[in-house]
Amino acid sequence: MNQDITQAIIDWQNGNNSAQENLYLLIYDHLRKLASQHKAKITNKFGEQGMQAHINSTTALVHDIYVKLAQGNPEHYKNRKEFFLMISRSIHNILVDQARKNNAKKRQVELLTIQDETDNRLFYETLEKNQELIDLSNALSDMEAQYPRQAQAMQLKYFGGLLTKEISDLLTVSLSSVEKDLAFAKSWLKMRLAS
Amino acid sequence: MNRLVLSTDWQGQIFKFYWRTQWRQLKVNVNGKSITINTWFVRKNKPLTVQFDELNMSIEFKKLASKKIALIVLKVGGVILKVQAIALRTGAKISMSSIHYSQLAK
Repeated sequence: MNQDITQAIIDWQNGNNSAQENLYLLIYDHLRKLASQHKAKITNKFGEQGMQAHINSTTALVHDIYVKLAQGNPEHYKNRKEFFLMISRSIHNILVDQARKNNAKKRQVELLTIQDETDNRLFYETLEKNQELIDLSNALSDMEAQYPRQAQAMQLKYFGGLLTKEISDLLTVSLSSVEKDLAFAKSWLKMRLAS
Repeated sequence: MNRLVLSTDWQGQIFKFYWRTQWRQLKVNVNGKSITINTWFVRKNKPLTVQFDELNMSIEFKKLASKKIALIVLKVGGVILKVQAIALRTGAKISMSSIHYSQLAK
């Protein structure tokens, strides 16, 4: 499987256009699993309504990822590591973009309508949750500038859905280093988001 | 026997794909309207494409290089929306993770 992905990336870089589609077909199941996991996470965190607003369906999210993949330049992906990082970032960006759009829409609605107290409470709760996702995105960007390896491990784990062993292979570091990196990244993000 | 192999709902358009094992036909149901696609003449890795211009969608039927497997690919504006691999003889769904690059690229 890993060799297949590497070969598909090489063929795509060599100008074989069908390799791009084949690459997508090879990771299709992985993408659907990822999209489904993220959908479940969003449902847990934001509720059914929040999920509807964030991701319409697994198919739609996977489709969005492929659109990003199709627009990408194959020369940017030197290897599997860069490719999976791109996928992880794409999923993350789609969710954050959606959260930003939701916040913008909600602000417009706030200006246009007078809501009762219950509506206001729900409105501010949703706004806060969307803001959490945007804050997380900003914190991750800062972390990437200061601690790139730890941020990459975090993205691959939580947005790319990869196992610790797979991350250690991709980043060419030991398993224990990945575990330490993930623990460090978690505490760093917690501290950053709390401050 | 008609076997449901793929179904999806895309922006209100409901697609259902049935595989007719005996006749090697793909029956596509779009919003209640059916079309039947004959696939017996499709050669390996020479995909058959059916366009739905009014919906900006297309269906690709592609036989793979080995193991009597076919891919059904639903595209929107040329971009893949949904994919399903099936066994030609039985119409059984096959996981995409079991497909190898060599089967796709040949």
